[in-house]
Amino acid sequence: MTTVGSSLRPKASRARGSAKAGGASWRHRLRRDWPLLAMVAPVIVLLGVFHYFPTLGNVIAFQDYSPYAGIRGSDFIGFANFERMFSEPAFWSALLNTLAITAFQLVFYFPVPIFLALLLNSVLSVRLRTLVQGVVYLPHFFSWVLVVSLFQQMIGGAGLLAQTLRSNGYQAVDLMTKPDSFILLVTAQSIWKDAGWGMIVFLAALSTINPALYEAAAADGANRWRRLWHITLPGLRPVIVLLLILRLGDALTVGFEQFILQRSAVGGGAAEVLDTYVYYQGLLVGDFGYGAAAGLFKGVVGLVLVLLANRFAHLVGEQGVYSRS
Amino acid sequence: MIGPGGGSTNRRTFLSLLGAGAAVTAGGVTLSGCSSGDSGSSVNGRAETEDKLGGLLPKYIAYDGVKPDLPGENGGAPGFTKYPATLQRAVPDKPVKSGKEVTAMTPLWAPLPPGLGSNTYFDANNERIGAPVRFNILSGNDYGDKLGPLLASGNVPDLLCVPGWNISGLTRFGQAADKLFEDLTPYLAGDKVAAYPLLANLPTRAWAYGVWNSQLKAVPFPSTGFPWALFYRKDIFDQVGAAPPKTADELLALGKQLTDARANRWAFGGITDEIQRAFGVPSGWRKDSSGKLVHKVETPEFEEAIAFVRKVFQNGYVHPTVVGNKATDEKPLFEGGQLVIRQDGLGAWPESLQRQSSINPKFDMQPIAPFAHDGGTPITWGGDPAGIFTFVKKGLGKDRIAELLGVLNYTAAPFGTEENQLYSYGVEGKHYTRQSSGAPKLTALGQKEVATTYTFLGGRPEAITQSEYPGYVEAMNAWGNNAAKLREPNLFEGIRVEQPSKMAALAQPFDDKLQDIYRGRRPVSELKVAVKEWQTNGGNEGRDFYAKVLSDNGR
Repeated sequence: MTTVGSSLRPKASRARGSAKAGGASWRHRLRRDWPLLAMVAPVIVLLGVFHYFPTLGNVIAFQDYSPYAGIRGSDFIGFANFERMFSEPAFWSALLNTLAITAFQLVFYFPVPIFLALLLNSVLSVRLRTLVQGVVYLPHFFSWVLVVSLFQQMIGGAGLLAQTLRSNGYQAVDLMTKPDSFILLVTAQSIWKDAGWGMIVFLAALSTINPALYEAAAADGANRWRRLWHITLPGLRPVIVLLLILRLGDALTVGFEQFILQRSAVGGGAAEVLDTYVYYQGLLVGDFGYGAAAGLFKGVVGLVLVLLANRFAHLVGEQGVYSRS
Repeated sequence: MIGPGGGSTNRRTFLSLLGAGAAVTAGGVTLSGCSSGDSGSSVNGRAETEDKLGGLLPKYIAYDGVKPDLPGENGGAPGFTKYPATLQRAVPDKPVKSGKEVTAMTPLWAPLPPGLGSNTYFDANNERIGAPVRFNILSGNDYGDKLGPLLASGNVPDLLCVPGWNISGLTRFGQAADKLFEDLTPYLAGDKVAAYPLLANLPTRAWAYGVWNSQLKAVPFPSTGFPWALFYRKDIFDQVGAAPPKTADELLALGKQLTDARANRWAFGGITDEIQRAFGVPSGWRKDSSGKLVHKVETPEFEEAIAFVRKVFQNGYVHPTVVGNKATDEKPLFEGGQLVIRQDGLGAWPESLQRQSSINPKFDMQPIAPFAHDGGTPITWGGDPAGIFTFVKKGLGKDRIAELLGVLNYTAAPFGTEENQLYSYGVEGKHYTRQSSGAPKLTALGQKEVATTYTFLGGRPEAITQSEYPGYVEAMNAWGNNAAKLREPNLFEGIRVEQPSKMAALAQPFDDKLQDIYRGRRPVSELKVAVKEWQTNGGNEGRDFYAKVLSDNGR
């Protein structure tokens, strides 16, 4: 029955679609759907006003933009901002740093929330689970200033670790000022701050897996690992792919505050990422056109990465972020 | 700013930076802009000479107020060793006749006070002004970051305080001044300023620095112009038997003597600019024997100074938190005795005394007399005659502009007037009490409500007044008079220069490299590479620009 019903529906839909050309039908649909359209209208206006319309402002990337002269009063300079950007070694250094941090975090940060969710999911005591969840969520609500200060207090040159070492007659270490291990430091900070929060979505996905599947598998003799491998992970896979794609879209956005706060500790060579570069070279000195060019570059690269990753997801049979059919 | 301690631009106090910040950036002499005529982009830099501005500057009419006990010599600030028993009323009428709210934005380097409606200190001042002044108070540390977007948005308040050191980091400020702010020339030029007697009491040289695009655009905050002093904790020095240094070697020896990591004490915070000065590095440009302009970063003295600072860092004499973050707020570390020597603006001194006098009676902060690295004759860096400016929003109408200038006239009231006492300390008996010496002492309510808000809305002739701290006025006056005597000659004396934006953009990358050198991430030899890059990426163009400014002025 279900099969027959569902096979009929597209036809009915197509029939309505073919009648769409007729004005009467259009009016009919408007009369029928107006409450829905009215509900959606504010969102469309909101998106239009605050998302799509401002996108037009990207035109200043091609201008010697002066906010006091406005878009109309500023000269168009073609790709000069981009040429300047691509000729700056500092830009390439920032781009490389950004990509390195993204790649590193994709491998060492991204799986952590999944692992945490699996671990927590296996805890049977509800009270313990709630407690652990609360504890690991909490750092997400701290600002980066607080997080970096906390790390500074713990492992900085005047921090707890260094003081303890000193008072015991050892050479103090300052783990906050080492450019070589900066990538490890920022990943550790990200994990401490956000892994618990990132876990929520995986816990939600885990809760949708039918418990009957586990019972059936257990009855068939599957041990915990087998159940994890054949039921839990496949259940999580669409969410993992979705988040991975979204993360790729933000590949050039690794963060701002976290890096700007620690930039002087390890130097621009290690801590300059695209966002801080834009801030220093574009916004701070009021060169908005140049900043917009760098921002546009980031956006375009992010879009291309999302499209590619989504296509790849389709190729391997996943739904991805969206599907054309 | 350059400096291991962040150079501390972002946490200097209101009196600390008068006219200072600009002159010591890596970009060079970065005075705020001034142009002749058009309001075009300032991307290429601008300059105008002070003595050509005669026609539009206000006439100086001295206000007959309290006379200082200690004169300011050589351009140093005078000192007042006691508070007058009776205060003069300087503004008899309420300046804002319409009673319409005045909006204002000012920086603050202190916790935010309660807002309008729940702050009796605001109420008392607004009563005298005749209208509520609604302050948008921003952290002084981030003020420059907020200012750029605010100006770009065009949404400025009636009165906007703009520190000069923030202007130097902005491009196209000349355009902003033209588009957003009122030309005050018709209200204040020549004799017209007599309508605002306390503004007329500001030095003419300070007014010259309030000119943009050949228009009087801002009310200046006069300054004696010392960017920095090197401060030390005399109480800790006495405790360990140390004496203030007279050479760079003695300073280095102090690093060893004072640093005791196990006791959580390090010798230094940020001292870079003061080290450069001690090594004889010019604050901006100087001419070599052939008459060619040489920037501070190109001088051999600069290289020596950088090598010295690196040595200080590498020996572990700098507080680790400062090593870890050049923008560390050093004040608590200094006041808590975790670091003993640091550079800061002069305003930091009374500010620290105010915080510590009730907490730690032993706290004794003193400035080190300027010294040369080799024990010879030192130089001091001079700044502009005005370092902070207040702009009035454009297009508010003649009557309203006059009212707003009346507010600025109120906030320019000098020491010894009721108005000055009211905006500095609040209401007697409520926000402060009089000590036996006559000096005010803030009450608990005063500590909570009184903030340097009105103070930032207008300058007043420089004066050292806080006689409630024993010995402070005398010591500050003596230090200032001595420092003024040693001030290095300024090639651009009296010329307003807005540096080309390309040069302004060099400051950050160059400073990054310096920070790397101090912390051992790059060898000192890389300084030559950094200077070369600085020259080719805009420094040489800047040199040509500045050379033309000089030749245009017959220098």
